[in-house]
Amino acid sequence: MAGAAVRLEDISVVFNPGTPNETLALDGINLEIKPGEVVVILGGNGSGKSTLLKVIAGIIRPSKGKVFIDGRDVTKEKDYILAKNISFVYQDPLLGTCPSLTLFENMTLAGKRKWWLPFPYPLMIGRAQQEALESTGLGLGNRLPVPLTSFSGGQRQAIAIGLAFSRDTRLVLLDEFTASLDEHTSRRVANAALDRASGIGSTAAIIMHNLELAKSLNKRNIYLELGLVVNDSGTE
Amino acid sequence: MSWAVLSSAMQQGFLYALAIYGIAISFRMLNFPDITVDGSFTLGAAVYAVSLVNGRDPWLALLSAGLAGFVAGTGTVVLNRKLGISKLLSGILAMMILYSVNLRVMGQANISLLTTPSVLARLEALGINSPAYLLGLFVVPAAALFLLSYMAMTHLGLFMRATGDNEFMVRGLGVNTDWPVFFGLGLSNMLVAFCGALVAQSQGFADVNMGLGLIITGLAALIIGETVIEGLAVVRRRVVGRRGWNRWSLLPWDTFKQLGAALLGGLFYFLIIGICLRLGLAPTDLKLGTGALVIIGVALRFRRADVETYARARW
Repeated sequence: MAGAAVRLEDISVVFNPGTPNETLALDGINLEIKPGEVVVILGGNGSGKSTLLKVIAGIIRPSKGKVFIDGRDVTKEKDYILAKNISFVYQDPLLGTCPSLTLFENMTLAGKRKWWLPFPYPLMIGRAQQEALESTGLGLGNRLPVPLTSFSGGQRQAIAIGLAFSRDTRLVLLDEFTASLDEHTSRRVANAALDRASGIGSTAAIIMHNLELAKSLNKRNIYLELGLVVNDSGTE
Repeated sequence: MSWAVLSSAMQQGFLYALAIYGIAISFRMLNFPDITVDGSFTLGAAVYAVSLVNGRDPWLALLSAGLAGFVAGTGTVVLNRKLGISKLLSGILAMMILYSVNLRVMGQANISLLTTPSVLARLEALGINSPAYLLGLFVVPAAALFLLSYMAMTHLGLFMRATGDNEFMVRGLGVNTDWPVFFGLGLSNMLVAFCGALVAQSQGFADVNMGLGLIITGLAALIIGETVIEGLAVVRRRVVGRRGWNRWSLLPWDTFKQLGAALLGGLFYFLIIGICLRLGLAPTDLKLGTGALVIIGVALRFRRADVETYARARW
């Protein structure tokens, strides 16, 4: 599977336009991410990092500019249609999982099955989901019938990451995904995520706050400030 | 407690279980506070009554009532999803619109069903209040319980529950969440409309105001049922203790419990009402009593959650 090529052309995002709360989140961003490339997006709070990923995923429509995935203009495409080929991991693990459902049910949701099928789902998780759970190294495979509300924030985030990677999508977007993990676990999870992304050939964009961790990954770094790209270390 | 009170509670509990299942689907599975049911209950009764008066087959009339309910439910989804009206207001609007629709369908405020053929005719021949009649009536909620439990084990059921829990996540999996809600709310209102038709048949008339306050009745029954089920689960844990899990633990037990709570809750609710009436509560005060039941049920849960949070904070 080849990763997706992403191209942003003159992307601007304005929140609350025409009101006293008008905010320019992204200001004419031009960016190209090659198939299979892993980029690390850095920047302070309010620099527009999360908005950038949400624009790529179709969750936020840009006020100006165009988004191309594999050369196709997807600026006006619905988020759930784009999501068929994109996995998104949020900073908040509650957003990426169904808290009232069990771990087994969450993993089953990520399985490659049609939602409208009127047949009972098998009482076992798929191989990709099983591998994803094992890769967290937290022994989660023994807690399949437990609702996610019973897991800690860090465990839930590890599950959300596992869910995202078990789908084998062509583009993976990770929004400060190690924020709720401890230093040791975040390093291990970040490396495992990169290995997994390169293993399946996905393109990946990762937002990070931890500069040291970002540098240790040795990938292309993009620095954002006030909605502008101020530094791009270039392609690998 | 006399057999008459028990029998009446069982009859009503079995009939209303369909509506309570519907309310459980919208409120608990889809997390959609749908008030359309007040209107779709009467719509079911209205369509059924008018079909019978016009000489239709009773089973076809019942099917038409269910379909009408399905359409009413999907109408609420259209208001919410396509026109951007909030969930609560969509339900209120649909309920209000349905009041006029029901009057249009019926052509008058009340239709008698005493001389028309009945879907319950064979059962009624066994003698109302007889154990055989009650057993026959029990088949209706039992079959619905079986089918809904089956649905909970399918991908469709799983995605409906997931959409109610975290719609954002489900969209992130590439699913258009409009469809699970569309189907779920349609199904919910279809069950309510079936219930309306059966209740109209059992009481011998359809009335344009018969759905008034159904949502409160349904929620009261659901809360009572959930409290009973939770109590039974606590007893089971104390008797059996905690055990390891196996494949069957992966079944959607929470949903099974909710559906069971709907059935049990209906029985207990009508039993409580029957006993209260026997003890001298005026029928005009029934809505007051039902409202009080909901308030007590919710307040008790709130108090318990409050105590648990406090205990956690201390320790």
